[in-house]
Amino acid sequence: MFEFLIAGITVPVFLLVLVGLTVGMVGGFIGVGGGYMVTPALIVFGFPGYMASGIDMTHIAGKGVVSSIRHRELGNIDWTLALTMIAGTMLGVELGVRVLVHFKGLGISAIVLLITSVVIMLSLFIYTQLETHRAHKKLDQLTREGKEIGREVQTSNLPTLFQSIPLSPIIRCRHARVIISMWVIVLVGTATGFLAGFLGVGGGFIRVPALVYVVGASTHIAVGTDLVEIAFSGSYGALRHSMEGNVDMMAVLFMIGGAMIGAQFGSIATAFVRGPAIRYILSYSLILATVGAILRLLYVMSGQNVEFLSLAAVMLTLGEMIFLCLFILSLVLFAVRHRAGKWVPDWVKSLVI
Amino acid sequence: MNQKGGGRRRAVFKFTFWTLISVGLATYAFQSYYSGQMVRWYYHTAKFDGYAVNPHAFMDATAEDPAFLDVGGFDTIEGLHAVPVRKGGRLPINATGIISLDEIRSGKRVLMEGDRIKVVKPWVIQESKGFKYKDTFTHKGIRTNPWSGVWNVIIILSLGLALGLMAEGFTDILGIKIDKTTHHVGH
Amino acid sequence: MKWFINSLMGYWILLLAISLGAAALVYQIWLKGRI
Repeated sequence: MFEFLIAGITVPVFLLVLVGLTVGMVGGFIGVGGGYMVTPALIVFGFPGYMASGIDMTHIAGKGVVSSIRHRELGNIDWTLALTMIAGTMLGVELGVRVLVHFKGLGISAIVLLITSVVIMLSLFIYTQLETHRAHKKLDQLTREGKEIGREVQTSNLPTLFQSIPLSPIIRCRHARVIISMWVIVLVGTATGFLAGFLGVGGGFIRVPALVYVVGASTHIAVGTDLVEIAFSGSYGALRHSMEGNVDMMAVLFMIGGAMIGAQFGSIATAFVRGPAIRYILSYSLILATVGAILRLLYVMSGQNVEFLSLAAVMLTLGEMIFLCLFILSLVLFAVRHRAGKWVPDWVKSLVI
Repeated sequence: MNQKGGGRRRAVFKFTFWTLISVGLATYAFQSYYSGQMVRWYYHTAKFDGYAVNPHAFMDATAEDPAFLDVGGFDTIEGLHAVPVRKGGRLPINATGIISLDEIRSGKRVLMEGDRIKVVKPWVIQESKGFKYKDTFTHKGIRTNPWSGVWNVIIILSLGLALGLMAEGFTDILGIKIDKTTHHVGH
Repeated sequence: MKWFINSLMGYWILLLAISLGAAALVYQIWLKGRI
């Protein structure tokens, strides 16, 4: 148990380290900050709601840097893409926060915000899951036909559509091998930043699919590049939150201790899998977060009477972090076994390298 | 053989250097926290007029067994003290929240009795985004020193950098070769 | 039991069950009673 002088509570330190570790692993693997998992967890641990967001955002900034360093070594960052997006992302976040404040001033309820998050996450889940399933099937087919398979297979037509938009300047993202209008990239940054600011999340779970399905980057590059964005937007968020008095640095330090280790595992794990495997984990993260948000929504709508709903939402939040880590570890284990010629389930063979 | 030896030496140096930096930064942050420096920066000035208090001291107060806070110009709040503050004024040591004048006027949770403040309801249950929480006077009306925000960001980014490079050094020492992901082979 | 490992859906369900069980354990030991 550790006394947090600023937050004014006592919490078992190992819980903070564990949350940092699990979300660090997930974040390093699918390129998200993980705020939608961490913030509810911190509230359950006893941190006030406004501090939960601030502590999360500050630790995300540090974790983003740790993960980016490893992804840079893995060659998963396209710097042209990252730097072009940053201005759009920052602008989007600022706009999102201001619109949120304006709506709150008009008396818009928490219910509306929860419903908005549910709709967005559910739509993203459906699209990502369907496309990834198709890609997985295509990978299996290519394996059966004995064709050479690369790191990525993607079956959406959206990138071709967006890449054909002729608004100059057209820029060349050499590493991602994408030629696209700069405005599309800036728009992706602004739109995802806006949603992040409005919903109060990091935005990775929106930006990674956007980089894959709109810009047309490979999943690995989308993950690495997004983590750079997260380091920037997290720093900005950390600054804002700190100035509002929402950050207890000791809590952040314990979380970053765990995140540092988790992020290594998560980032290096990407080297063992193909793109669709990462997108599967991303879609699972989305659906579990959606179900958690629906449970919380039902709880609020029930007038906070049905306590079971609140408990179920807490279980799901904690369980989601553990589930995603176990799945990532499984994929690495299966990859190592497959390389050694040992038995692995059929569904895994085309997902791992 | 020499190249391997040189590479190994570089890895050890890299790991040791960044580990020392990480440990140094973490120790510095820890000490700033525990020496009270970070705490004093956090509970810096008042956002509105009211009475600076330490809500922890009267958390168990009830209507039947209220807490009474002595009002005075104390430099350090020890237990049941309340120090009058104005908007923008520096907070006394150990102040972790402010009871606003409006709150006293409404009389629902705190009342003025002579030259003492009577606390009957130190906390209420509130709800936000589907989560119930205890709303106390802790952090109410607190303005943090804005430079602490800059300090926080510098510390966390430096720590992130140091830890990331330390990890890179670590895998280098172990001889784990991290190959660059081949993005565009085949399909 | 084999279905839980041989199919993606089955593996998903297996891991989720384990994870929720672990979450319940963590909650029971460390978090019960906190708001």
